Amino acid sequence: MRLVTFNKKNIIFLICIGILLLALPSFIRSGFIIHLLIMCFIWSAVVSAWDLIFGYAGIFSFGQVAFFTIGAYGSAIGSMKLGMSPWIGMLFGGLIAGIIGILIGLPCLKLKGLYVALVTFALHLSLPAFIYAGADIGTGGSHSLTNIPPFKVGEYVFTQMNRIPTYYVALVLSFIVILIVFRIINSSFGMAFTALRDSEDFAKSVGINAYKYKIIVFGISAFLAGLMGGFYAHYVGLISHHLVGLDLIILLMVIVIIGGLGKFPGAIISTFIFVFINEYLRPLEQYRNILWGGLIVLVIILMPGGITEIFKYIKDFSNKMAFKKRN
Amino acid sequence: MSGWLRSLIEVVIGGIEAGGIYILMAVGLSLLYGVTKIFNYSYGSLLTIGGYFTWIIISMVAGINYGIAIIIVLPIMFFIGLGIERVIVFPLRRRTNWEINVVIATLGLALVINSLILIVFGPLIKTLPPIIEGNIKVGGFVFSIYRLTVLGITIIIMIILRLFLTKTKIGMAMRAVSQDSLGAQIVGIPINRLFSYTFAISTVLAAISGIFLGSTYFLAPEGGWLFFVRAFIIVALGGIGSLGGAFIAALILGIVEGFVSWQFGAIWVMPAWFLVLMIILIIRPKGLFGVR
Repeated sequence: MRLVTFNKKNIIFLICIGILLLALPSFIRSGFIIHLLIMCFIWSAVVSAWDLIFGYAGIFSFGQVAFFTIGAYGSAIGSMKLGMSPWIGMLFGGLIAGIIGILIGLPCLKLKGLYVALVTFALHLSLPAFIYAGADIGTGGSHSLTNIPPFKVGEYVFTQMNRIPTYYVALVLSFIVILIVFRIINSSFGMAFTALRDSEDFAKSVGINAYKYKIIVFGISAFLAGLMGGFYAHYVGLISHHLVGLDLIILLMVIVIIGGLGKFPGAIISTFIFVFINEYLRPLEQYRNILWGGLIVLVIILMPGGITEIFKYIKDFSNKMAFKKRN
Repeated sequence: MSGWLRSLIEVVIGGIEAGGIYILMAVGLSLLYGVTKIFNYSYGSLLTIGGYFTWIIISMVAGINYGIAIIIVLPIMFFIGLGIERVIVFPLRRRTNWEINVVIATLGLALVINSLILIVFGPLIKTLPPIIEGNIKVGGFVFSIYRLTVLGITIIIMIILRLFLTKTKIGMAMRAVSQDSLGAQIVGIPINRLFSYTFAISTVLAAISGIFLGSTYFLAPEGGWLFFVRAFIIVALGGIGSLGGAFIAALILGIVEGFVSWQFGAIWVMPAWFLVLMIILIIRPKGLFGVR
């Protein structure tokens, strides 16, 4: 049994999207749109890793943004204080996020699901305090961390002036991350999770060790989020405790909830929709958060499966219509 | 008495006073989870609006008695709690995975409330005047009358709550539901109504602690979050659903907070709280007085 199937239609569709994404920069003159697309790649990777644990593994973590931020700081500190190249720094940041993820997962993944939700959320909310307090290790304290070195290949520097090379790096990186997530979902791991999610007692009775699997996948997800955090830090060049404010986690939650929990490509599709909507609604200021918060409440009550449910309704509806016509 | 010991005792006294302010906030959260298994992520925001409502009344109506303002605010909060339970929690409760759905939905609600507060009251912090001012000296140590009053009110409310849970019909039904909600339903306890009442009572407790916190610290649009996390850590230490546990845990953590800010500085208070949480989960995940 595969959770996401590959038939001919899907593969052709994927190839078309791939060609479109590869060709896109040559049509777009606006550096800002390229920037938004890069952010879409970053968030779609972070969101897929979140969906992997939240939607598939049934680990109700709210720590994804925290791990992203830990990765960003880890990578920035690694390259600024420890003299790593940004590429190595990115991996270093990811590793730190993964290790912290495992350390947090070890005690609370044994407990009921709500504990994970609360502990990871507590991590999210107390991370600014850790950042203020960590001025000695180079977090910049209450100031934002600036002048983070950009990526380099040989003599070439990836700057904000020309974002197109960065666009391709982000595309490849998020493709790799999403591929890893996809592989995990479709592996025996993924099936074990689906079994655990649907019937924990039964899955345990056939010998699936819930705890071990959960720890591993939680660590992987934190690592991937941290990796993208590292990429973000070196791409933008500036990070601050505002990353773990509420704006970012709201946006990512809207993306995941509306994309559909445990509906694999759903979250990626909704990333591309909502990053742009979010940007164009910026003039609404605080009203934007009311909109997003209200949307989260409404969707979870009325449409728990996310946008994929709309497609299902449309399909059902058109089937019904076709059926009526035939008779 | 050496200076160090003296400061230590002062820190402990200050910690107990600070912990006293956290008690009701943790009790409200613990009661709600213990009875209904709802974890209300908008708890911190409800706490904040409780404080803001009192602030409006006090600053709009000149010379109004503090007590009257509180008496006006608490019923409003009760009905807000009823409304939230009816509109958001009730429709979700029929799902298999309803607990986490409620968490997500109340988190969404909290964001809405935060932004509404920001729009209506602006980003500047507000402070409520203390209920009573002044200090008393006992044996060379200074006690704040205000904080002692808070502790006293808290103890009175805890006793009332205790009597309510053990002597009244609704209270006993609540305890029955907390022990076995299916069994309670079978013997004819109207579980939906009880859920609403419990949610509303928990909202009222949040509002009272919002008033305490607003007059001790300050009110800010997103200020409720840190108190929410503290309330959760207190509940985790005391044992989920245990009201007495929440009482003692709040005092212990108050002392920890006082000690950390004395020795290492206020910046380390929040990391210390988080560290305590992790230690509890490793050593005794069901908390000091937890039964489950």
